[in-house]
Amino acid sequence: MIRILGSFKVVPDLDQISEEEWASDPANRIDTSYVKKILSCYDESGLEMMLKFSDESGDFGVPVQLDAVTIGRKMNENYLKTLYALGFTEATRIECEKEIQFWPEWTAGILSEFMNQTERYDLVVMGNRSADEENGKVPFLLAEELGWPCISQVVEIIPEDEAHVKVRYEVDNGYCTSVVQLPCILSIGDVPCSFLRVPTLKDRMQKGKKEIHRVKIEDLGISETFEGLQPDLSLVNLEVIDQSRPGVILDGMNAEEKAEKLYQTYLKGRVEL
Amino acid sequence: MALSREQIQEELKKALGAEQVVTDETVLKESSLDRYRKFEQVHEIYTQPIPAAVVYVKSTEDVKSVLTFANANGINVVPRTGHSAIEGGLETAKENSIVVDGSTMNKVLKIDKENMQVTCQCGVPLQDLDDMLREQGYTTGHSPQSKPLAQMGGLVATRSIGQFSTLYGGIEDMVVGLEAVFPNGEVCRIKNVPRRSVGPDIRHIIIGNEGALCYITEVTVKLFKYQPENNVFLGYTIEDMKKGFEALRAVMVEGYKPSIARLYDGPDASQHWDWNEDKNVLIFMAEGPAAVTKATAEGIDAVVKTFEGVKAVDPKLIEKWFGGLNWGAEQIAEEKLEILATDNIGITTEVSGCWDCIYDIYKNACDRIMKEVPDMTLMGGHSSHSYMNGTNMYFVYYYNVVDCTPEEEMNKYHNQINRIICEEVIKYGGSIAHHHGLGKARAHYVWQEYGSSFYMLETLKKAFDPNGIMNMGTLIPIKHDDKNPWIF
Amino acid sequence: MKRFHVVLNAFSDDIEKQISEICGLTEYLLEDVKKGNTFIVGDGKMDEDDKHRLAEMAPTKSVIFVILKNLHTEMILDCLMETMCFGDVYLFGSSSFGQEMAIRLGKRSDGSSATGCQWAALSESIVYVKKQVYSNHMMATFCMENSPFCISAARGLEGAMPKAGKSEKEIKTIDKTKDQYPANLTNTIFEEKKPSGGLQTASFVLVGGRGVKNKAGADALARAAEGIHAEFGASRPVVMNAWAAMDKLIGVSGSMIHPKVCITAGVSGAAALYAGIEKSGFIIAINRDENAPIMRKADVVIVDDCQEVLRALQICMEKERADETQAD
Repeated sequence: MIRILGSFKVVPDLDQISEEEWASDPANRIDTSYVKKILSCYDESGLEMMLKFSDESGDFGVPVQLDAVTIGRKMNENYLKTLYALGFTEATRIECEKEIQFWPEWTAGILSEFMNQTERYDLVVMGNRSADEENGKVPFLLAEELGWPCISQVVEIIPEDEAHVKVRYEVDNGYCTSVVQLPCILSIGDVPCSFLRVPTLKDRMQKGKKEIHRVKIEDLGISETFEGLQPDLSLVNLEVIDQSRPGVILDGMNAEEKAEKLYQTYLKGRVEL
Repeated sequence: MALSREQIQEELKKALGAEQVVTDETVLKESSLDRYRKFEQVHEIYTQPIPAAVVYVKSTEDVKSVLTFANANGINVVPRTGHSAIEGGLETAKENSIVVDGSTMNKVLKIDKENMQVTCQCGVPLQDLDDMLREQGYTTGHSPQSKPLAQMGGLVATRSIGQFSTLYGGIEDMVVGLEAVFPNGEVCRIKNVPRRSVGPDIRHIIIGNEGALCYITEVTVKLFKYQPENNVFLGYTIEDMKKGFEALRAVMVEGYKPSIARLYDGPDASQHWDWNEDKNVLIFMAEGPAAVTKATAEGIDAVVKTFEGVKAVDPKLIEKWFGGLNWGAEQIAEEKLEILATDNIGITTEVSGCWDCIYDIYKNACDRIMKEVPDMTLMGGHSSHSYMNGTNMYFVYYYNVVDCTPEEEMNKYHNQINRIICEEVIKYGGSIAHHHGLGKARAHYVWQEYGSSFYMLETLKKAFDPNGIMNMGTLIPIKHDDKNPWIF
Repeated sequence: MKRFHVVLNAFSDDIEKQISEICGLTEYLLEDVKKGNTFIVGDGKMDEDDKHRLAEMAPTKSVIFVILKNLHTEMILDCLMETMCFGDVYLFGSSSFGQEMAIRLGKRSDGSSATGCQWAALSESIVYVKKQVYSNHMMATFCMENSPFCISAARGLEGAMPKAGKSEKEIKTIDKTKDQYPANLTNTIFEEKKPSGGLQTASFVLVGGRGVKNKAGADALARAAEGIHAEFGASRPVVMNAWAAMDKLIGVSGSMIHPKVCITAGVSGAAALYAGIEKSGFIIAINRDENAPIMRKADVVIVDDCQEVLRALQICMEKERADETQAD
């Protein structure tokens, strides 16, 4: 049996924050506490990919177990309930009420401890980055911690046999498909139109009520006050990127002059001749 | 002898010039439906008769000449502006229809600040109009979710309502005067006055006619001062939905005029927020001069807090949510991809009822849908427009489309859910459509909806559209199966 | 003393882009980087000419070629670890290779890594980086904590290429082709990304709106698009009038595009259309009506007849093209 762990992060829906709001916030802190949280989109692609893999695995005679883990607040358990309703077997929340940001080393450390303490996994599936931090570090850091290979920019996972999966992933100038020996970490890239399927209310009633495992951070041997731990990068300053467009008026005697100015000042170098 | 498709196209080109007459196949298909058939639409399946032409009218004269021609030849006409309808009102139910598109009549004719009214042609987009007014310190006060798409003619034709209706009213409270063209070519103008007592208010023959009586070419609506700096927000969770309706009622009955007064049930609220812990949510916004908004907010707060199971939440949560509320343009694009990827589709049905029955309508409809319709993934709703004597209920529901073709989806799910909602509303004496219009689907319940007053609707239709050319099937169905009203 | 190393991937044919990105990262690079090495990883197919050409482009005097059987990150990491000193800074391009290398090298050497950086200040004592966060809404400045410092560039950075040095390059080659490679990936099949063309991937788009007036106007605009080598798109009124095909539709019911440059011609700027072009790098609006909403949402606006301006622009660009060919 292939046992797959899907790791996901719940992030604020940044689209809900208005332009004024971005601009008004003081330096060093974006208050996203009032914004509705969503599944980080790359993680969402990964979870749906796991379900598809599981749907198809029957044809290959490869039994699959899907588990999920997330670090965060109680609110995140709604997503774990959804995953239960969709057929996941074990769902765990690593309890953390604090908002930890810009600290991927911490996340990877906790996940690796969690994996050391639970049963063996053959495959870890996770998004390649989260929309708020945009570091893309956790999958590689976890791979380093576990001493596993990591394939990034994955767009499709196909069953092969009990010791291998076939993976399609994006590279600089195209796509590669390889047979990958397990265990391995798959970091999910841009997969167009991949939304997590929606469980029916019946499935929620029948399967979604299963107990969610809760793990405390100190039980993983990590101090909850993070003593002795320090991120690779410490945030010094945050400033808003002006998204407005200036609307500079290009004047000229006639259309020819304006076109000439447009080309020389703005298009040259920006577009190919 | 009916004209052929080609003859209709030829005649229209003669009348308006070839440039204004579109007969391109993809445009015609896209013009055969609206978002009522959303699932068919995203799969690019077209089950309705394809119109003979889409004509872009540039003036009242153009409208007159198309309508006169159609009337003389018995050709069905479907009036359209922003194409954001969602109840089948824009479906071309008869063969060789003409879609008359007024979106090119998009001039704001007069902003009259002295008399606080603005006159525009039917194709003026509401978003453009209101953005322009806001820059000058004014607003129409009209802000429906269709705002990025809808245009003035369509908004008036469907009796639209906006988010701030509890203060500003529905479009019927905003329209002061109009111009409309009737099938025989008669152009009628109703002048702009503060009020009149000169017989029946004939504005209401035009407002909400859904293109079944006449073509709206021009509207004048009121202006209001825009002063968002005074807005005050309030938010609560409330354990019991029934108590929530009672709280809404108390706010109205005590005489408060918030611009927003909403009650969300748990499932619907959870689509917007995650702080409510699956509980029902009440929100209010007070708008207007500073002294008024302060007093309104304080008064509402005192009223709401007398109810059992109420917990106030940080008003900032509501304010920020409101400030970042996406009015839909991007969401519409994303929704299409999501439906195609997941076969999960979300639809709404809005109804109204008096205070003594609205909870029962809500409860019974939700319970029945959950029991009788398969593959439901979310069932809930909210009340968003309250009045002295009652409120509306906006049912919000999602389901997975399982084991059926896009053509079959309508009768397997959407129509069934609509049927249950209508049956429950009729049972309790509510209205089956609060602000989307009756369209073509719910038109099958027009007799129960109107009761003895159907005589008046039918008489209007016969009088103004004796040849049956105006948006046939809307308001009154063309074909109706008494035993299975919802299979069509 | 800090050494600044540059790591380039010659398995990919965009070395110049990689160097430009790395130069875009930091203005100090040209001066200080000379102290370190440029590592160029590639396969055995590189001949001496190739190597010489690549070495000439390298921003450091010392160039080390790492020859591999295939692009295997483990082998490269081993090699970099062997030559590493305390305080070293490693700079990578924006590709997923660069990102992976920066993160893994930072972790493996107990140093720190930063990815997708717009800017890096490399002083003797502290290393600062800037990068976009929160879906490109904010620019964050970070201080990097531990040495060695591994930094990968943000996509699309462009810096001045180093001038070809007068001094001779010192070239070394490390051959790793005979080593044992871990075989966790097998049966790899590569498919090249087809230039899918079309609006979704175009880097230059011309969008026509209602202001094109009729079918002939839309056709003229489509030809102008061809003339300036832009992809042609249209607003909803244009396709619903059948002045352009439905697959040209830009906006909420059509394509949501993100070209480098988008020119709108006769577009008013309705919300449904604007949502479709909002992600463009640079927006130029041409419209007769200076009060059209689009004029406040564009980088540059021209108040004039869109057909005339585009005709003139086409002529101007054709002339420019002819000059360039002559110069060649």
